[in-house]
Amino acid sequence: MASVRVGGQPGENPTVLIGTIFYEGHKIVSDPVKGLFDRGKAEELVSCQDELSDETGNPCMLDVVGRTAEALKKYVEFASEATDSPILVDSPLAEARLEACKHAVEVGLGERIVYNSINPEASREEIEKIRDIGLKAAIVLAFSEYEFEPEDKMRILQGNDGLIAKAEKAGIEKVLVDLSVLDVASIAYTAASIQMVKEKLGLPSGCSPANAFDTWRKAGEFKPQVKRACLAALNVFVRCFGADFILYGPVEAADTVFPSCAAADAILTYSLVTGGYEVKDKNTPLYKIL
Amino acid sequence: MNIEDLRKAIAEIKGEAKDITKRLLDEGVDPVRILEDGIVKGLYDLGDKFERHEAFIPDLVKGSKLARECIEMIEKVLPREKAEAKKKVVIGTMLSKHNIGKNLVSTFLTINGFEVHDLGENLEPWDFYEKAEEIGADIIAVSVVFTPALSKFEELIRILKEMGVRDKYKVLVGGAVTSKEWAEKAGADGWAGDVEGAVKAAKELLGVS
Repeated sequence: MASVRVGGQPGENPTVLIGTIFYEGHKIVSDPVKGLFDRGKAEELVSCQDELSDETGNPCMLDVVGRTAEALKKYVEFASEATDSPILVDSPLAEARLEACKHAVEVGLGERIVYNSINPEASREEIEKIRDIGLKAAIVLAFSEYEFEPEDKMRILQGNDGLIAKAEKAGIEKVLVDLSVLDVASIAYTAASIQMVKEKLGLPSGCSPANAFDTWRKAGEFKPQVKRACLAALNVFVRCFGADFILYGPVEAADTVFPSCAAADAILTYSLVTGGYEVKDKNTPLYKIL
Repeated sequence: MNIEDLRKAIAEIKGEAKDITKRLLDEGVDPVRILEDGIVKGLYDLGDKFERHEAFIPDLVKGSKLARECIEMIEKVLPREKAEAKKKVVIGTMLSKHNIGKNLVSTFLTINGFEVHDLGENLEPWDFYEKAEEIGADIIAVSVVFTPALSKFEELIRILKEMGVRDKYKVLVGGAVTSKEWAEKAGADGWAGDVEGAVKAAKELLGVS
């Protein structure tokens, strides 16, 4: 996906870590409708993620969230200047996502854009617009609050009305499957779903364990550093169950997430090495952080 | 098998709850008792486990699904005149696909005797207005779980006023990003922070027990 390799057997390619910026309530945003923000602080955050990516060997992407098309277009333009990483264009509103993606393609950023996301509610109109814009990469979000078991996720993804078919109709050639989480306990289902999707569909899969924090009732009692350690643990957990990419939450958490996931990646790669696997690309956590 | 077994099966999310419901109905047990003493109490037990951190969101969702399947069996045999006397609620999630809370409220309103018209998710203000007018609703219940939907709720209140129907409906709101203070300011008649609160508020707004 753009310059980033995603997927493969555990240990073959390092986890792709995706931080989110301009999320709802992000303090660096002063006007979420017009897309006004503190550029200096935003640059610091993006640079920090890029540097950690270089230090650990874990590739990164930037998930850019906007409430309106106007804001999202500005954010994406900023991101394209601040980093060379692929950019996920993310909004709760399809119109905002589509308009921002159209603008990104028009200014020559098409190759770096990942549509976030094609979900079960995606209308025929949205799918047609994605195709017309000419996007080639997307997250498909296998999310349903009533269907969270691995077999349910497979049903959401497969078939004529499934998300994979929708992505194909939209002209998407590179798909990342986000298996979603409801709460911390539900990550048990997510982890099993990641394994099933990789095994049966052979598609790069991952999730966003950070979303579980919203419903983690006792986490409110934790000190900030404990929360960060817990976030790292959740990310490492899903990596060990095969996640190829992780939307790790606010980009501010990069300093905790990258080293912890890199350690897990290093162990996974070394387990391949002990079985005779030859690591061709030395730009990998095993040779960068141990 | 008795109603206590049904209550336990719902609380423990066991599929046999459906078999027990069927058997109790076949044996001629009062369907209202099966509903109230078996299913509703079982769901409250499950809710208590959640409060004690012994059950988690997937458990609540599964329990709610199971209860709905049992309720459908019971509704088929409930006396018709009782159904006709039900107060009508139009419910849905404004502008978002999230539906756990809304679905739980929908289930609990149903088992508490309301006729619930669940519009689903990703709704616009007009969807609520149109359905409420179509079915002659008593309550419009709106789930608001992310910030942009707050202004959409205010838009709904505006639409109801502009169309001259504001007084026809009691408007109830709840959801992750709402508060009692905001709801009052936005023009809602009632606010609820949880499922039990929603049922209580709906009953109070209509003056029913």
